Amino acid sequence: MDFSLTSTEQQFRDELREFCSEYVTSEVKELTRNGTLHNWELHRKMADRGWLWGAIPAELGGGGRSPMEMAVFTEELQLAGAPIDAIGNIVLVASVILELGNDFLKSEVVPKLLNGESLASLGYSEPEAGSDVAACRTKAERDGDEWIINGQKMWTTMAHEADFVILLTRTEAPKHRGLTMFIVPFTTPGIEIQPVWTIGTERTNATFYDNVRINDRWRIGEVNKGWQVMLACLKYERGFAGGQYPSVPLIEAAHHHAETHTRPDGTLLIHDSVLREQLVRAMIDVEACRVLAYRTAALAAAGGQFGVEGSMTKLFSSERYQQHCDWFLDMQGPEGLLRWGTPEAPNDGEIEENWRHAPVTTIYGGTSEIQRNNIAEHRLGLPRAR
Amino acid sequence: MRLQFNDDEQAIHDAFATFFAKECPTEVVREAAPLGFSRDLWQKLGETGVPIMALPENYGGGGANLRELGIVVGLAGSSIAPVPLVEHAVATRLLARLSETETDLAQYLISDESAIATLALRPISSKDSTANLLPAGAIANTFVALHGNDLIAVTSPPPLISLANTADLPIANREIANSEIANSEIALPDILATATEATFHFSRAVSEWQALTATAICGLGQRALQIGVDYALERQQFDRPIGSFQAVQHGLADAATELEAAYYLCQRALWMLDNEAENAPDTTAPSTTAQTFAAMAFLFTSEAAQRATAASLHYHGGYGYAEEYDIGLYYRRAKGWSLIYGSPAQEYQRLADTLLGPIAVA
Repeated sequence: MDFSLTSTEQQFRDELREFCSEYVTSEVKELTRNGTLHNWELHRKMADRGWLWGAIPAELGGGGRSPMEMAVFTEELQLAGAPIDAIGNIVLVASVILELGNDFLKSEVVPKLLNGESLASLGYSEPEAGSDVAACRTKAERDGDEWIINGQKMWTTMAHEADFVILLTRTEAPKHRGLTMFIVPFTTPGIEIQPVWTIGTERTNATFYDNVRINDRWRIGEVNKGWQVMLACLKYERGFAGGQYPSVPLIEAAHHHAETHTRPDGTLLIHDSVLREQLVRAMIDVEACRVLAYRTAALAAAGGQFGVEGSMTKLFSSERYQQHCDWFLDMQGPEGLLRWGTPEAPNDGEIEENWRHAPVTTIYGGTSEIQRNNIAEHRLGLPRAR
Repeated sequence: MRLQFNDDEQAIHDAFATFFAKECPTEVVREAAPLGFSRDLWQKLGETGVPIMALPENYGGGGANLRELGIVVGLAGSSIAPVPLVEHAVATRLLARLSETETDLAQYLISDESAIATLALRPISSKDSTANLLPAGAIANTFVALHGNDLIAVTSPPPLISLANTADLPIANREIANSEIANSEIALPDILATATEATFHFSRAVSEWQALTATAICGLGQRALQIGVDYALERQQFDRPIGSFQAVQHGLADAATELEAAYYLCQRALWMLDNEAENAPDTTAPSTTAQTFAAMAFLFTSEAAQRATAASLHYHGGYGYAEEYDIGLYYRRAKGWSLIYGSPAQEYQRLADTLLGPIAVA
């Protein structure tokens, strides 16, 4: 067992810290309050440093930063509170195209994604297909060299900023064997993007596809083999896993609040022993998230399967984050109810904002129930139960 | 970062997985109660060199680091082995650090090769003359304690009877002879260190105990989880194994997840303590010192293992409550191995003082 970083990994961490302290300013974070967890200026600065190319595996022709470097990358950006939700999609879509796509997609889409010019959205979920992705109903029908797509996708986050969507469609009846995947430019006629506002103030979208015509060259993978592409998507989604450290900025905010606010008897909140235990528990949980994230990266680096470990990391970090949000919002008492933007809101409403964001973390990227199913089946060897 | 065993570590693991499977089935655990100690097993373990494997070589030990010792400790935990491996290793390492030569160290352990040393985990007031609820106190020949300002070593015959307790731990209260009482029949303690040197060495030893005990508790929890999984696959209700029900699966999956985190927290704590001993820098952005991290790992692992054993017992249904089933042995020890250190609530407050700063007195 050895938890040390190589000098390359350590240098990369230093470089990231320097970058974050210079560019991930409170202004950049403030701007995400419009509901879009993305900042073009910051994004392009990261692209200019080659970090998006770097995130693509070497065997696909990318910069091939090691899994541990990528773990450090996501760790440092999250600790700094950088809006990086778009990067995961970019890395996923570019990697899938490079593995399974045709030359047209490789030259038309991949460079735009990796040089910081374009974003991509994920078009899997539908009104009737959430955790059960293969229940997809959006239909693609062949018409000569073209396909005609009709249907609706849900939770198409970033669609209003993105140029492309990776779109799962139904081309035949059988559930998993009748799916086909496309990359679709959002400029294609017939696409409508409607905002879906969330209780976390984040904007996501519903996207509608009405007789959308695209050439067959936009297809990725074989016809009716879309499920294989989907599995590749899930693989690369795990390869660039964020979301391990949502509690870190929250704990800092709570600690700061407790040191600057008093209890009714006039003593500081930070003197409250219940709160002190909660802060320590949350800090221990962060260390648990960190070793789980490192474990996942170390397994990937050793060429092992890391699906179960990814599930564990995601399950644990999101479930505990919700607990932490509850504790620290409660700490603020009725003032905790004040929304950010209200001048009276304590700490600019940062904890309230986290608390409203928290529910989605055990839902998106695979619900806690899906993660537990995965762990039960693939780690514990229990029968598949769905 | 290499978060799996290297060849040497794997070899240790394989050898001792075999050893404990053969030498420590749960019959041995049951027979060792209520004293909570199997002298036979301890002797066999002694023949392998494990009790002194993490002593420096120039003190006659194996020169292993804490991670290597931790591999054996984790396996001993899996088998809930009734031997004071952690206490003995920690106490002898401490004695070695404060003994100039192997001969100096040997005086504490000379009576017989299977002599046992242990450590009082809580500082004892200079006014008190007893080490209460001493881990391995029922069986240890020598114990080290922080007594007032002094770090002392007391050598006296062990009572070989433990205070009856829920986890069958070999705990006892042990007397510290007082020089002011002339007729004391037991030898006066040796003073190993005083003042800041005493607290420095004591807290380091306690941290080693926390990290190693957490490792043992983690092994215990992992085995308890496996017992629960095996039972859930075997037990049929409503014409299917209960392990096919999601309600059962998800409880087990949560336990597996917490134990996974616990395992790597323990590994990292041991690694950090090894590094601290070698003055090697930690390049993984540590938020704490090795000693603080050991306490964090101990608290987290204790809770994870207690939840895992409770869940595993619960999925046994009524049989889990029956004395005959092994899961109850694990359930009681998961609590006992943790709680012997002290109240977790107090430990959280101690950690809070370190991590958040002490409460300023107005």
